[in-house]
Amino acid sequence: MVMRAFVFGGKHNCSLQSVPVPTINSDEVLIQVSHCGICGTDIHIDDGEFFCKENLILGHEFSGYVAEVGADVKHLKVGDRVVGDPMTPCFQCTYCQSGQMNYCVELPGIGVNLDGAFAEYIAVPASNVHVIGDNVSMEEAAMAEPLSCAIRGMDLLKCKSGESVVIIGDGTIGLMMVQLCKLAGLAPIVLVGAKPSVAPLATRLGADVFLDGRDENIVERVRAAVGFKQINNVIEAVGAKTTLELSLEVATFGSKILWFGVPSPETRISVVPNEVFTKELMIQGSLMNPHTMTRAVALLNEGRLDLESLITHTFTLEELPEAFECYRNNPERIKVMIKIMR
Amino acid sequence: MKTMKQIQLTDVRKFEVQEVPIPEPGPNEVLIKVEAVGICGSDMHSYTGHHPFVHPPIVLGHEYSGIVEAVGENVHRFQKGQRVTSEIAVTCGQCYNCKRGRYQLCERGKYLGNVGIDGAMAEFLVIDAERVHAVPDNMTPEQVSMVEPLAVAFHAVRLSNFKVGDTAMVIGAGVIGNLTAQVLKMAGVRTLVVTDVVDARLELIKKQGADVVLNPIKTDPAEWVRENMGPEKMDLIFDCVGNEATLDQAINTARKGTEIILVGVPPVRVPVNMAFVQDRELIVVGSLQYVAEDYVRAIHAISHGRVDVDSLITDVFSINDYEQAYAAALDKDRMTRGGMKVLMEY
Repeated sequence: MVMRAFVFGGKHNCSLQSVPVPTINSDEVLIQVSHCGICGTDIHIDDGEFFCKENLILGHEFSGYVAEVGADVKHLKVGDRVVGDPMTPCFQCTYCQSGQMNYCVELPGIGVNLDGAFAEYIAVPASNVHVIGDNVSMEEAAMAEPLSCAIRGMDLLKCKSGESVVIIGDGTIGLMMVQLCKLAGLAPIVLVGAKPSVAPLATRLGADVFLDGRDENIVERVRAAVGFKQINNVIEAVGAKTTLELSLEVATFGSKILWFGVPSPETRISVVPNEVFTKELMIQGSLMNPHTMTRAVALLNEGRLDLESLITHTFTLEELPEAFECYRNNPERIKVMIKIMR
Repeated sequence: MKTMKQIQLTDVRKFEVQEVPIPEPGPNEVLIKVEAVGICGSDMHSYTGHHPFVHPPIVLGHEYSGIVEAVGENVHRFQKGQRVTSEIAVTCGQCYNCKRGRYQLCERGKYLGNVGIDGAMAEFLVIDAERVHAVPDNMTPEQVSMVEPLAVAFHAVRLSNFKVGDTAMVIGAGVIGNLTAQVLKMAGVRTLVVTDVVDARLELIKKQGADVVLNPIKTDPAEWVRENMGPEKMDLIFDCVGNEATLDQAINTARKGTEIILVGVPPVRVPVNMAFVQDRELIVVGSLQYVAEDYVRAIHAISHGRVDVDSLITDVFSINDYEQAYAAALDKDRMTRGGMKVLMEY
């Protein structure tokens, strides 16, 4: 049996190929992929910035239907509507043993060094598979993975109900953060973006104020929008030099700053260490999604978030090069989704 | 087939020496030749039939020192002749807490020398390689046998909200209380108060660095704290005994908001003043065993001389004199005279 798959063949050399349908081990399931979203990580890999095994199928934000079940798998059956957690740790190293799977020395992961989901079928360890509710659409379910990463960031930020937050970035993660902050009772929620056309959506999803980050007086505008309140939390969800620097510039005394956006390894920024000292700033990074997939799926099943509205463009597997192009160059895009099942 | 001697607890207060095959290490397992084994409070409960979860027949012994004899398939971290000790929990790796690194809370755990795995009162034992820790050459077998109880102390302090400069009371100056007090001292406690009804134990911990020692038979600790401490009184109280009297002492001594860490193993139900817990926002935390990080800390602390375990090893027997060793461990007069850890050596 063969299938269509989008294979990474080195920097700027991804192509649609015909490859064998994967076989499964006794503790795995075969998933027929319904949808798989494009993540910034996929673009970084295509640009040769992040490590990725060659001749690997990319794609790690996916939903699908269980097509085949390994002999030892008890909690899943053929036809189940599911999402997969791409993190496949070794369970043996010091980090795994202490529950910090995202630091695993094997750096494992579907779509990074195990075949991913820009393909008709994918083999996944059963313990990485979560069943989704019937009320959740397959395209929305494909966003459970980025949502679980956003939840990890929220966990690390330790923000509390009633605190203020400034979110920088109006992409998929920024608009997920708006919703998570709304759910967590933060107020006010100030969103700094680059797409004024997103403002009505952002407001509907929970932002109190939308500000255009390209305004030269953006720091004053953010401070004014928060009013006399301390800015307790800043979430940077872009990963670019200007937005990372902005996250430090808007901070007040005691601000906690979550750097969630994924910068290129070459990115360098300018920091005023004295500001970190005088304001007791705390800068927090966030990597992947250890133990948060269960909660991401639960929030989707309970209908607490609107992720469907974040999908602005949908392409087929054959159109993946155009989809990458759209991700890179269309200023209006939010989530770019690949519909794989015909 | 090669055989070995094991001393099995066959019934309440009844040991039997048996000649049995030397166990084979399976995949991911290590066969360890035992050098020394300590007697823990829980071993005494198992021996006298008072342990709620340990039932004969079982080979006791989980505080031990040993040498790798053989390794099973897939074990690359260890080789024959290496000096080691191990944690006791063999766990499923799949349940909620295992996945989050709190595997001592495993839903399906087995515990060396307690439940499901024969322990160190035998010439050899087999344990999961994941739980084995290499020890430096400068540690004696007696010191290595104290890694396990010291890891209990490290876990309790790590689990608490202790911060450098805090005040703390440790209730009980037996092996676990003594080691908890020493770990707090090492971590920068400001005022360390230790209480026990045995004066000899108090004298030892005083020598090892406690600021104040109190015998509750002579001095009410709650009253002493009210009269002699500042408004912070006690930031933390570690109950390393866990009976009605000590829990009462903890709750009565606590200021509003104090954290009480329960390290001792209480009988199932203890009538205590829970109204104070609610009204004073006391934080009561249970602490169970340890995880790998605690073992790493305990090994370093002993090998670098940061904790004194030598003074706690007061009674050493040959393994052949196991009956006398258990009799000594249970001897109240020995404790009154300052007897602490009983060890048996091969």
